[in-house]
Amino acid sequence: MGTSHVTHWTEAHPELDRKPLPIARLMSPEFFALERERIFRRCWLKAAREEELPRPGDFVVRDLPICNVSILLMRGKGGDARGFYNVCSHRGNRLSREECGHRQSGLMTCKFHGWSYDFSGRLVGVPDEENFFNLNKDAHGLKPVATETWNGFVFINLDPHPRQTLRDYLGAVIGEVEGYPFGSIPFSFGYAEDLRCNWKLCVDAQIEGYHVAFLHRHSLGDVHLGDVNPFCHPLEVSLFGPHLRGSYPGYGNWSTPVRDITTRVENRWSMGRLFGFSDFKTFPRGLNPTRSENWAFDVYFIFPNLWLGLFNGFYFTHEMWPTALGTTRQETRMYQPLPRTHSERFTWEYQKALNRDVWLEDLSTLESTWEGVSSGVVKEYVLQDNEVLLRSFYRSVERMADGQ
Amino acid sequence: MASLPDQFNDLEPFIEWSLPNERARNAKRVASPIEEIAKFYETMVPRTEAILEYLDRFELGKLPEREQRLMNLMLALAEVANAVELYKNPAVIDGFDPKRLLLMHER
Repeated sequence: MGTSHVTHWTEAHPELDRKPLPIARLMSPEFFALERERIFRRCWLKAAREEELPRPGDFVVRDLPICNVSILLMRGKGGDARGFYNVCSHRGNRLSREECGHRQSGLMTCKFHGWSYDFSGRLVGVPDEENFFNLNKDAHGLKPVATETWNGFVFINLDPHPRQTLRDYLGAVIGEVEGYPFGSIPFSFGYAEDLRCNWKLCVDAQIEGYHVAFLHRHSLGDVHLGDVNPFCHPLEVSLFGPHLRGSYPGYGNWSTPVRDITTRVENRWSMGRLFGFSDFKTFPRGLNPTRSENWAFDVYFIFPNLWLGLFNGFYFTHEMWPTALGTTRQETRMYQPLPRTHSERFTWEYQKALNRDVWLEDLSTLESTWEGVSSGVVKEYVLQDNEVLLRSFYRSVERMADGQ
Repeated sequence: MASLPDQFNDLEPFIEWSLPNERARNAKRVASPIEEIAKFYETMVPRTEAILEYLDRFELGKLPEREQRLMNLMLALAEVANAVELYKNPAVIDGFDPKRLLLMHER
């Protein structure tokens, strides 16, 4: 390892402090209740990608266990995706038990007594309607949820009167990534895990590069480490309100037989070609924001639980969904050009296995960290300069949970 | 009938690596001794260019049975490559249990 250099990210953000970060309260049951009410019931939350429901009659269900609700996103004729509580207005039965699907009829029908709704949420069919008492069907449509879309990401907000539009909520992030071709890059593969840890540990593990040199030392560590930067210091960090960016370096590649074969296929294929940018001049402003020759990717963290890793030509996401104080469903999705030949399919399989194995490394510390944190043994995080985004994340969580 | 295309029938001893999906391939990888994985890997690598050149004559996803078995061997090579090239160990070292991953993809 070469010599390191001293970074100064924290200096630019005196409000974030340099002292150890107290976390005991943030991991308590009382605090979790505040997070539920003031973060997950108030913030805009990513519920789907538009490509998951492209046609009228398509629907997707997103459960939010922390808030004890299930959301049904439906695309009606010629309209945007709209969100509703996935609950029949009659007696509360779960309307769709499928995770996603298509209704040629344009109707969602409850399996209990057959009440049916169109895709704008109106109640349109009630069997044996004559025996109700002056039933006004217009008053018993599905209960709507605020739904807005940004760059194909469909967000919902459980607040009956959201304090901000989605655009105002995302703020400066929008301009930073304007032009990134999210909609042109299809879903490729993904994994989900039910983890025994608090959701915030899943977030904090992914907003620093300090772990790369050690946790990923067997795999891609060397890709992101260089003689001038042996600890994967970010090229840049930015705060956009509660949202975060870290720009991370790349210094080369490794050469092994199968990797070399897949690299040759990849160069003929599409990475950085079909959906990529030809040079830095054509990048969105916030992609490789320092225009570094040693740039690999940027992390955008959209508060509270959407992590985007943006590369030139592909991207992947993590979502951290609390299910209880000490349990989390984490979901990871890769978006990339799809293989067209068997060579590309082989290369795709190799890259999938590589990403998965790296994620298995990332996942390996979450539950064991939760043991240390939830036992109360560790009451504060001792953080270095390159873990500055954790300070911002936890500060945003605490301020929002405290109603500030 | 041989189970692989004629020009690749020397790979027959490794036919048990011809598995239909990621979960099965990964399960076999993490349950096999590294020496056994390395033997499969070292046999496959020198044949890889020829195999891909042959399989690329077929439309993706429309392989006859013998060719599909050959393709599945290639996908198993993609699965085990990291075990040999990076970890020198069947599983990710100190990694999360892959059996706990829920797969969202069918491809």
